[in-house]
Amino acid sequence: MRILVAEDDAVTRRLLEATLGKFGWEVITAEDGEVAWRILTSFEGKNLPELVLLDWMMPGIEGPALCRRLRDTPGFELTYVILLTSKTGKEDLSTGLAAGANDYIAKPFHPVELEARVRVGERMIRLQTSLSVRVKELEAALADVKRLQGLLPICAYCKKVRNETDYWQQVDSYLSAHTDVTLTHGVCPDCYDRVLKELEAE
Amino acid sequence: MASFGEDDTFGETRLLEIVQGDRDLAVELTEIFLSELEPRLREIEAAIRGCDSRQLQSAAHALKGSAASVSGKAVAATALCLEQLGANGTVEGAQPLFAALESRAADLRDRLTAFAKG
Repeated sequence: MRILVAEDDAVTRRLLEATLGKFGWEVITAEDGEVAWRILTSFEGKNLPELVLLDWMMPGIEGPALCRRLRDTPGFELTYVILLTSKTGKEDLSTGLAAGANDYIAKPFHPVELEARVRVGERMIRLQTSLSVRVKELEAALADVKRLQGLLPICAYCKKVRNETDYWQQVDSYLSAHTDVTLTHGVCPDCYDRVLKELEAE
Repeated sequence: MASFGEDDTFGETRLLEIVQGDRDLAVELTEIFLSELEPRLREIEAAIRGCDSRQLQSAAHALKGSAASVSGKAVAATALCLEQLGANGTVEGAQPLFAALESRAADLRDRLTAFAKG
């Protein structure tokens, strides 16, 4: 997992970078909120850090303000945000969470707590990702069902059907392409009698 | 003003716990801290002289955070007092606190320098 750390204090920033790195995460660091914002937007939606650790008090954009900005920007709705703060009053925490943060870590932090909180974030991100994949699959399935529910022109003589690209297609290949049904070929009793008669007549 | 013991000046055991026993990292952190200590103190001093409470809050907050990260509890606690003064919109009463901060910062500098030398 890729993590962006925005922390203006060089000692804490290096400590976070080293600690998270030891746990096996890829860490990108920013020395303030502006730099963090520039880094995040430079990804243009590809390989974005999935988790962002934001110091609350930073020069320029503070953690909660940056968090709000992320939440208002398409593409960052699912980014997991943890605020790092020495503010532990109920109102402060409520402000931080209302800004859209998923969690917070009190400073000075202990590495065990840091790992535990980031692992929770990682689990949530995995869940969210698998849910989002599942929703996409369901949406695709629903689109197929809708396609099958529409009006389907069928040739009165040869029984071919006209698909979405105006191409006349055998009904079996149409069904195979639009459903999960696999068709096997057989001969029904009526056709069997008819074909047999035709063969005998030949 | 609160009094502090040896461990409050520099909690070596605590620092090694924070870095999970990685002494090289601990030394690296102390070196970063020491390189920034003097400018941070001067920033606080300038804020007090200029009666700039916002600057006092921000500069003291920065020192508090980095001192806490190297387990310099006494410096962090004194910086917190100055930060709170600044947050309350005043620099009144900051001078004696700053004097205490300088003295505790000097002790921490000595301890960290000795630690870094091994």
